[in-house]
Amino acid sequence: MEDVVKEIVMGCMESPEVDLEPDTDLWSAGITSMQIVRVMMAVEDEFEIELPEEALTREAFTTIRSIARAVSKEQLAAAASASENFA
Amino acid sequence: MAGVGNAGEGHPAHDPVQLARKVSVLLAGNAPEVDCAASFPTESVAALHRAGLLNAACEKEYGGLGCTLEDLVQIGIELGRGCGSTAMTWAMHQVQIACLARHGGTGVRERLASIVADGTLVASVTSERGIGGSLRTSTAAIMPDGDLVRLEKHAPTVSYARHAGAFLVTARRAPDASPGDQIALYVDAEQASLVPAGSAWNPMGMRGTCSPGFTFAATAPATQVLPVNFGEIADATMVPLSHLLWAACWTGIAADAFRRAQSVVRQRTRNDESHTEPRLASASSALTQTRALLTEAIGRYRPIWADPTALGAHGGPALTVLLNNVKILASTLTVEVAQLSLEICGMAGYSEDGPLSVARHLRDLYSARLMIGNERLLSTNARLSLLQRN
Repeated sequence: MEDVVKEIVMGCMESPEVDLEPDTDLWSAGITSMQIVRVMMAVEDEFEIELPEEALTREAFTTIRSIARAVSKEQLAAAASASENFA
Repeated sequence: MAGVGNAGEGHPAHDPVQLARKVSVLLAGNAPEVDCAASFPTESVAALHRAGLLNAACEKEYGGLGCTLEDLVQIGIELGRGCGSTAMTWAMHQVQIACLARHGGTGVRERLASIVADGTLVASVTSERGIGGSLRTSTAAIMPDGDLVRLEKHAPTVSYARHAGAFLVTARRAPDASPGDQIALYVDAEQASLVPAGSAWNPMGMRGTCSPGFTFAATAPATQVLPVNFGEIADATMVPLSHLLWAACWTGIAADAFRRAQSVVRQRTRNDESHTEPRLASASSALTQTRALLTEAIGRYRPIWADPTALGAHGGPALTVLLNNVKILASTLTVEVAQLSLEICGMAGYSEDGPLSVARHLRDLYSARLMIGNERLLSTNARLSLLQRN
């Protein structure tokens, strides 16, 4: 998943000057709040999820790893909710 | 001018908001002359220092009052009632001093106690020609020179620059850094030169803030570069506190205009018991909305005010949208209050003089929509609203 997130972030940042590792601080790497919006939308589209407001923190979008973590968490929550609905 | 009064005189053992209410009477007395002459409110700022209010936002360990956000906003409202220019100068200084106290390195923090004790005003040099009003973009860059850094910046406006003893300046981290890779540099007045640039200061309102343009040059030790990215300083302190305190000052100005209109309606009601004035109700409603927004934003920003490292967990698009809304709505709703007050007061309100004049209030409040242009904030919110979960 981190590879997919990295591809999204790279695309939204329009050729960042530094190589993005999973733990690279995106804010320090120069990402703007507008680019973060694009990343969030692309991530939601790619993984077919809707991140809740409490997940939309600066921290969650600090690194590729933290974004992937937020996505995983939401996917798990969505799966749990789906299984509850079928229980 | 490094100091504006006698340090430490009469520091308050009282409620800071009550104190602000008392000092605001003096501000109101000085306001007409400050406005008319477009002169800096030296006496009013000295009174704030004597009362201990000049560094209300600074932690007690440095000699400040360490006020809560609620108290700071209330102080801003009280000062705004007396004099918009003095209140706005106070608000801008609070923001700079809070940035230094919360994000400064050891070298900068060591200076804070004397800045507070001396009543030194700290001005910001964040505006820059050619960046389109974007706080988060710089053209000027610091140039390393041994243990020093050098900087030259063309600033179209620097509030109370000639009356400040220190400056907080934004710039690119290095000559080859991108426009968004910014630092903040603390500069003593002795380390800076300011050459007037652009038109002389003769604006419509907020005339006492004395905010003309300058070519700002400085040479300072590299240790005076704040150790965190400017983006973090802006998000954790500068932007939220500016929006809250500016909105507070505007609310105070509008509240004073409302009080004048109210006195007119009271008199009319004494003469005619059946008299009602729906415009007063509309003005009251606009003031209530502004105060409610402030209360909501204080609550959402409080964890980050308590601890700047909470920015990661509590900052994000929802907070940005809310704070931008506070600024956008306060800057227009308060003008509405003053406009309604003008209609109620009639020609007495339109006059520049007299107890029912709301002319200065209106002129001062029209600056609000320009201080970080509302269009810019609306554009940001338009994007961030794509993520909003209502």
